[in-house]
Amino acid sequence: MAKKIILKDFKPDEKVLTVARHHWFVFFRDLIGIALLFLIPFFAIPILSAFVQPGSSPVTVPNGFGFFFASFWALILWQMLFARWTDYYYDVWIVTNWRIIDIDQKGFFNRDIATLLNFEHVEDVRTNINSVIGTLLEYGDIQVQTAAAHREFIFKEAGNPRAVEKIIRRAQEERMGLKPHA
Amino acid sequence: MLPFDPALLLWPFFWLGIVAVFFYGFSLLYHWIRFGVLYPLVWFALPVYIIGTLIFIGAMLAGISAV
Repeated sequence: MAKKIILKDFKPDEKVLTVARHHWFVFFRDLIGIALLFLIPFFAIPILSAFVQPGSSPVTVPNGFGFFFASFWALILWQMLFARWTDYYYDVWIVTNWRIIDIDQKGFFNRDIATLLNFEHVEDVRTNINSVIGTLLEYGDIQVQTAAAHREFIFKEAGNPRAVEKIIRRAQEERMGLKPHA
Repeated sequence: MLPFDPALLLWPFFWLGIVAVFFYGFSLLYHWIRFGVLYPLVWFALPVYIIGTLIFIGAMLAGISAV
């Protein structure tokens, strides 16, 4: 899939080395949260119905109210689910043999794109895996320290950060004419 | 005097849901269609999103009609 990405301003000899995305667990975590919210009506409606027994209260809940509000709730969560997925899926790092393009989608209509144009500006590449799940599933932060105006490029909770780090280092070495690591 | 129709209580929530769908739907479709070249999965997500949204809107209407 990485090879298929074509940007309008690609240089003639530019090729995509890797496309880094957030690890799938990042979205799965949000999915669990939304699924838990989705279950709320299935607990709340029976509890409320138990308090409002027919004949015991002056208020009666007509048929269809529970179904309506469960559908309403599901509709809202459905929108939130896809909004969250878009936010997750649209955050991406494209590493080419020339540069790093950091696309950061922050909700709707807030898209931050930063490009590290020259690998010679890369001073340091770090990865930070700092949780049990991150260690088990191999995801963490990648941080590229630069001498350019945009001092730091940070990609949080990226999948397989060490592999991405190696690719960036190798691309930098090739660009600068150094001998790559074995 | 006609008896009070409880379904009248539900219509404001229905329209609230429609407004939310309009906001989210416009935002999602705008981003998916505009940047879809870079993100191929949006073309799978788009029909799933639309079908799910229509199902839930239909379910809300079914809830109102059941009152």
